[in-house]
Amino acid sequence: MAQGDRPRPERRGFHRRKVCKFCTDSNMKIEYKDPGTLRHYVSEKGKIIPRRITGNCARHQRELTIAIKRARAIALLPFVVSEN
Amino acid sequence: MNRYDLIFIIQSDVPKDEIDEIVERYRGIVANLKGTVVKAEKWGVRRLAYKIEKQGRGFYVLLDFVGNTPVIRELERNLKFDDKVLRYQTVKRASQVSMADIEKEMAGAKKEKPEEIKEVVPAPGTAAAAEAAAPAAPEEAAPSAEEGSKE
Repeated sequence: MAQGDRPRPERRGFHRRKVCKFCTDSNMKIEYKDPGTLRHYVSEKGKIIPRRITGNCARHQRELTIAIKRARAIALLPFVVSEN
Repeated sequence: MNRYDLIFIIQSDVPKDEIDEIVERYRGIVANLKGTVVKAEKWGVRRLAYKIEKQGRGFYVLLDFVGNTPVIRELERNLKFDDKVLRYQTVKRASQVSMADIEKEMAGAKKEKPEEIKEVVPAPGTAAAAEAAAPAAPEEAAPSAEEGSKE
C-alpha cells in the first residue's frame, strides 16, 4: 500500500555508458602472459574487478578471469596484496 | 597434435650457461617425443608477484610447442623433479593443429620478427544507430506509443 501513497522516487544517479574495451578495440587481446593489461582488471588488493564496474561484456570477462588466474599461478600476478 | 605453452620459472641465481643447458634439455625432450618447438623464449629474471620457495625473483622461460600428451607427461615429470625449477604451467592453446600451419608460422617468424597481427575479419559495418523516427510528422503518422513521464 505504501507504494501507491509515497511519491515514486525519481531515478537517482547517473549512468555512464560503459563499453567493453575488448569489444571496441580489436587489437587488445586477453593474454595471461601479459600482466600489464591484466593489471587494469585487478584491484589494489589483487582481486578481480567485477564486470559491473569495468563494463566488460560477459564473454570477455570470462576470458579475463581465466587469464588472471593463469597469471597468478605463475606468479605474474599476485593472489593477494596484503597491507603493510 | 596440440599446441601448448609451457612456462617455467628457474631460480634466479642459476648461472646463464646452466639456464641455457636446462632449456636445451627440455627442448630435447619435446623433440624426442616427436614434438616440435615453435619457439623458446627466455624472458629473463623477473620479480615474482609472490614468493615461491622463499625466492622473490625467477628466470622465466616460455616454451611454445606442438605435440601429443606423452610430451607433456614427460616434460612435467622432469620439471617436477628439477630442484632448480620453481614453478611450471602448461596451457593448451589449440588442439588438432596442422603441421603445415606451424611450419608456415615458423618460416614467417624466421624471416623477420614482426608483431604477429592476426587478420581480423572486419565486423559487419556498425550500423548507425537508427533513430526512432524522431522528426515524425505528427499529422500523417499515427501517434506512436507515448512514453508518458509519470511523476
